[in-house]
Amino acid sequence: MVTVVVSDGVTFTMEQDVAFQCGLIADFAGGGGDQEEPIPIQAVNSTVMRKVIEYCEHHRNDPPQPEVPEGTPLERKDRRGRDAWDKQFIQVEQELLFEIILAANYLNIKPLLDLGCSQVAEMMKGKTPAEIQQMFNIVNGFTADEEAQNGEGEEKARNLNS
Amino acid sequence: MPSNARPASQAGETHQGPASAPVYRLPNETLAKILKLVKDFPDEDPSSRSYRVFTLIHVCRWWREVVLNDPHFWTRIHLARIQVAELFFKLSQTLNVGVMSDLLNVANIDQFLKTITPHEARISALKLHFDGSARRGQVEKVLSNLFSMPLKNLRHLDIDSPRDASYLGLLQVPFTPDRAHLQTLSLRCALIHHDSFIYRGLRRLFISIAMDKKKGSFNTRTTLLLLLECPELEDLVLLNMLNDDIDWSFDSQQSVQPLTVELSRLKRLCLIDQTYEMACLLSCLILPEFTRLSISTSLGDRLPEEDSSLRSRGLPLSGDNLACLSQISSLFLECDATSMSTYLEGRRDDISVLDLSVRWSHRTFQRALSDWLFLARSFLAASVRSFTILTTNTKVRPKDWSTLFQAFPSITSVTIPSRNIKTGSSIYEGFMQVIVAIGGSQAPNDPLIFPQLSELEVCGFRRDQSIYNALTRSLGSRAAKGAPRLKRLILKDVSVGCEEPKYDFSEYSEETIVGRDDIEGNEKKRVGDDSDSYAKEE
Repeated sequence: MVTVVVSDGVTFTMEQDVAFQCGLIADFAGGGGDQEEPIPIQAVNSTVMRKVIEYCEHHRNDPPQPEVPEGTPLERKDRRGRDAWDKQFIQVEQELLFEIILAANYLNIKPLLDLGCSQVAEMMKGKTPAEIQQMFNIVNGFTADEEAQNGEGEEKARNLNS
Repeated sequence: MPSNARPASQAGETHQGPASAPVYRLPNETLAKILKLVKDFPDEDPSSRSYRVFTLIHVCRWWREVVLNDPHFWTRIHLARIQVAELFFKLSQTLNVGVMSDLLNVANIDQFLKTITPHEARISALKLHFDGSARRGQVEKVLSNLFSMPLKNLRHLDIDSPRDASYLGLLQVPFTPDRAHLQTLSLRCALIHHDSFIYRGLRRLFISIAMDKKKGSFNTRTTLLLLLECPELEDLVLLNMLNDDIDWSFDSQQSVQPLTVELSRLKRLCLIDQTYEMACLLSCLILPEFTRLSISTSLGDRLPEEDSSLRSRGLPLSGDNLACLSQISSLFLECDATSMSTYLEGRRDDISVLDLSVRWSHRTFQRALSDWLFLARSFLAASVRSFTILTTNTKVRPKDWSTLFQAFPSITSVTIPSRNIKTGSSIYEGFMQVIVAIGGSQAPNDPLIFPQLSELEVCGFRRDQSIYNALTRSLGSRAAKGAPRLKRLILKDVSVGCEEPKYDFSEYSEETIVGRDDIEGNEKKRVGDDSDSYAKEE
């Protein structure tokens, strides 16, 4: 068994095959037997950790995924990684979604990171820059002149590609 | 902490934005990963993918920096306009790039070539489309200049030339041993000479020929001989060779043997719209290594009157060759059932699923019907599990459908994947008959025609609600007769009707029906009206 303690002090104990899906924990434990001392996971809170463990438990028996080379078509990646359970699992509030992505990145769980990133990308599908800004509460940071240029540039790009 | 992980607060500090916005906590590399997924979304016009990069750089300064500084965002170049191409070449830095070009839109050929030339060593994929309106001189100039370049990194080449016989002969691409790394070659409507195929590294070959018999010298046998010169080839697709002027000179088993050996290393062989002879020959050459073979032929006017005519051509229809058919785990045959049954007869016990198709190119539905009934009577009725109905322009009588369905009581899956069917047309009426048949007769004690039906897929009936209404009646009728509910029901692009009483689709779970919300709410008038995939597989 492996025990971790997260940022808000909550302790989680899980079986090794679940825990070792997190590259960080596997590295920390050195691939050895049971870990006596709790492993501190300071960048993840208990809410997110529960989701991470739920994901790892569901995929504990998955065969190792082969590396997908850069440039692999998205649909092929998707077919590889996202089943119906995953799609349901990742349907969460935006705040939690980004927390999961950060946790997956921090804990080094590549399939979960891929899943979270795919979900965010899916949310952006077909949207304009203004719609994306609104959806993610983004301040563009452009000066007034840059924004004016952006408008022209965008129009120009559309024309160039049409 | 992993070396690539970044404290959550760091991104937020670096980039201006509301502290509450979670997106600001992403590290640059994670943001880049997400934006690349957005850039590569499928199912859209490939040229629009280039534009998507511009959408991303207009969201905010932070995203712009990420996208502009990562060359991977700029490696897919659609050469609609030279200015855009130059920007992509510059920002992709030293990475290999894929170039698509619609030569109709390249106003200035010289400038196009001038733009390409300095970067030719970085081009790993090249897709050229020549519209029919492109002038011959332009096409020749582009091709001759392009292929005079070394193109040493070219992995994928796709040339779509005009469907115009006058252009045949233009694409005598100078294949040289220097390009041994080419992995994929797609040639549409192109004339090639087998002498020029010395791409030893070629893995995938797709050839589509719209052949003018008088001008073309390409033939199917030549294609097969190409295999001898492409030792790495593993995926071969041959499309549209209906007018191929076949010159079969295989006069003995010995002459075929080298090809048999070569075919054995292919992982996939797909023959679409081939002549019957081609299908027959390759059926005989199938080796155990094949797990899937697709043979599609419209038969056309080349259907031999009887098998003896095939034998007279010296084709090797020996028992040994036929035995190889038993090694195929999935065989898609879209051809004359009576003739093909000759090949399958000895293998009836091996067949678990036969996918029957109706296609417009069959001369008459009645002809196909008689073929299928022959199959049913002879040996295959108990094996047929699925029934796929494609479009057909033949007249179908309701009693023909009934006859057919009753001949195959073991069918568990019916697919009607048609689109843009005109209401009232013969095929529309035919489909309607299928749907009505699924429900069985009105008399409660009459047996169901498809008692084992468990999967049904219907798509492509917009602007008409009758199909939907008939479907609801049939499903209701099946339920009334005590039939178990379908395990899988897929409706796509089907206009939702207003039949009363409504069929209760809620008995189907999320996994078994597409567009359930649309049906229940009836707010949208179409089910699955979207270009995306609607099917949810079980």
